[in-house]
Amino acid sequence: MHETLESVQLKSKKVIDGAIKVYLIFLSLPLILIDREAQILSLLMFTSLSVHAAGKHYFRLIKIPIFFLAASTVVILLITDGKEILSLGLLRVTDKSVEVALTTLIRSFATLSALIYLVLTTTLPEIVSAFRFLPFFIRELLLMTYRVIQHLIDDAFRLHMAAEARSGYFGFKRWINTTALLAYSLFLKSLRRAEMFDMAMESRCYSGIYPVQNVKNKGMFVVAVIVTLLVAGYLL
Amino acid sequence: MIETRDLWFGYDKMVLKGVNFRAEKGETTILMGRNGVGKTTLLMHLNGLLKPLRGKVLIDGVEVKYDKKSLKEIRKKVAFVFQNPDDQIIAPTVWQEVAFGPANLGAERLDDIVKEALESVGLKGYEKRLCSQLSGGEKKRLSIASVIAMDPDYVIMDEPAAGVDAIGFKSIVEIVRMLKKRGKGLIISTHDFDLARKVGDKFIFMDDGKIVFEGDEPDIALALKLGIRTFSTGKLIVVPHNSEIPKIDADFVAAMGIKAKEKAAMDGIEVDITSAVLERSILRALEGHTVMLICSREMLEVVKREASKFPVNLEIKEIPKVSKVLPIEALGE
Repeated sequence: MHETLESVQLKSKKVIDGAIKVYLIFLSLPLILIDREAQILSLLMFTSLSVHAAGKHYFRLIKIPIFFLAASTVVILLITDGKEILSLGLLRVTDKSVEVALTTLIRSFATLSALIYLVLTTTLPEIVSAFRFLPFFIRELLLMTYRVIQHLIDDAFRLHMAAEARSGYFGFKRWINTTALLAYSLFLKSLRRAEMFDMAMESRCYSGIYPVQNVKNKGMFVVAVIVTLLVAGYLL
Repeated sequence: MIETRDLWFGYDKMVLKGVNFRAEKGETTILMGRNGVGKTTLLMHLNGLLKPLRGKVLIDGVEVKYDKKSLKEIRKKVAFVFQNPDDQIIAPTVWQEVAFGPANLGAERLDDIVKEALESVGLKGYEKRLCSQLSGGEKKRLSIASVIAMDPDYVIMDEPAAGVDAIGFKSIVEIVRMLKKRGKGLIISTHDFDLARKVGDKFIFMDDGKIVFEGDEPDIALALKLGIRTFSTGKLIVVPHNSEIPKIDADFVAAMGIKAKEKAAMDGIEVDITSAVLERSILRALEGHTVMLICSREMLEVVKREASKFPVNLEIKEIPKVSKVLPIEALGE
C-alpha cells in the first residue's frame, strides 16, 4: 500500500505538539512575511524541525513547491527592470531583479518551511481542535468533509487498482475511457456513502454535536525559544 | 425484550413478509439466512432506522414511535453495528468516533468513556489514531466500541465476523461474551456457523422474508436446505436396520449396534466402521466424505440428536419395508 501524508503526520517526531503548535505557526507567519531576519531564522528553525520530525518525507513534500518557486524566481530574475549586471541575449539580469528574486525566494521558502512543519506533524482534526473558537458548523463541516475525502481517496485507490489490474490504462483512448468510468463509479459510490453516513449518524442519536478532542500542549520551552528568536530578529 | 409483530416491509417487492421476531435481554440471538432474505432489513427496523409498512416493533414492551424524540430514546437503548465498518465510521479520529454517540446523548467525562470503550475491545491507546489508518479488524472493533460507549441495553451486529481473520474472530467472540456478561441483549446476523455456535443462545433462520426456524440449537439440515453456509461438504446418511438399504455410492459404511451389523452382513455390505461408530461417522462426514450409517431403529433418535450438533449434512433414508433379520448365530464370521 501507499504511504499517505496522514501516516507521516502520525509517525512524525513532535518536539512541539497540541494547539500551541498551530498558534505558533499561524502567529509566526506575519512576522516571517515582513522581516528578513525573521525569515532566515524561521527558515533555519522550521526546516531543522521538519527534517527532525519526518526525515526524507520533508524533502519529498517540498519537492513540488520548490519546483514552482524556482521557476518563479527565474522569471522574476529575468523580467524585472533595473541596472543591468548580466546579459543573456534578449534577457537581462538587473540589480533590482536579483534583490526582488532573493527577497521572494527567502520569504516564500521561510513561509513554506513553517507551513510544511505544520503539515508534516499535524492532522486536520488537531488543527480544528486548535480552532475550537470557530463557529460549530464550520468545524463540523471541516471534519465531515475531511472524513468524506478519506473515504473518496480509499475508494478511488481501490477502483484505480481494479482498473489497473485489468489493463485499464494501456493506451490513451483506454486511459480516457477508464478514467471516465472511474469518475462515474466514484460519484455513485459517494452518493451511497452519503446515505450511509447519514444513517450512521442517525443511529447514534446525532443531535448536532461533533466532538473534538483536546491535544495536550508539549514543547513549551522550544516554542518560547522560537518566539524569542523571531521577535529578536525582528527588533534588531 | 425486542419484539416485532407481523412486520411487513419492502419497496417494489416485499422484503419482510409478516415477521414475528423476539430477542431477550441478556441473551444472544443469532439470525441466519442466505443473502437477500431480509436479515439486515429486519435488523434496521429494530432501532428505528427503517419504518415498517405494516406491523409494529416493541422494545421492552413499548411500541416504537417514529417521531424524533422517540427515535432518540430507542437508539439510546438499541445500538446498531453496521456490516461494513467504513459505513459506520463517521469521524476522522478514533477518539472522535467513539465520543460521537455519548456526546450526542449529552454525556460528560468523554475521555473516560472513550478510554473504557476502547479498552473493552482491545484498542487501548488508539485515541489519537486516524480511522483511515486502521486495519479492517481494528475498524470492526472500533465500530463496536463506538456503540458500547453509548451503553445501550441491546446491541445489534450485522455480520460482525465477515472478513475477519482467526485472531479478529476470537476477539469478536470475546467482545460478544463480554457484552452478554454485562447483561446486554445481542442480536447478531451472521453466515458464520462457528460464531453462531460459540456465542448463540437462540437461533433464528430466515427465508424469503419470513422466519422459518427458531430454536435453542441450530438445525444444520434445515440450514443446508435454506442455503446457509455451513462449511460442510460431507454427508451422513442414516438408515435404520429394518429398512431397505439404498444403493448409495458412500465413501464409508458404518454399522451401529448388533441389529445393524446383522443387517449389513445379511445384505452382503462390507462395513468400514464398527467401533466408536457415531463419533467416527460424524468425523468422516466432517472431513467431507459421504458416510452411510446403518443403525438400529431404537438408536435413530440418538443419532439424529447427536449428528445435528455438528455441521454435517444429515439425511435419514427410511424405506418402510421390514427386512427379514437373521439371528446373529446364523451369520458366522
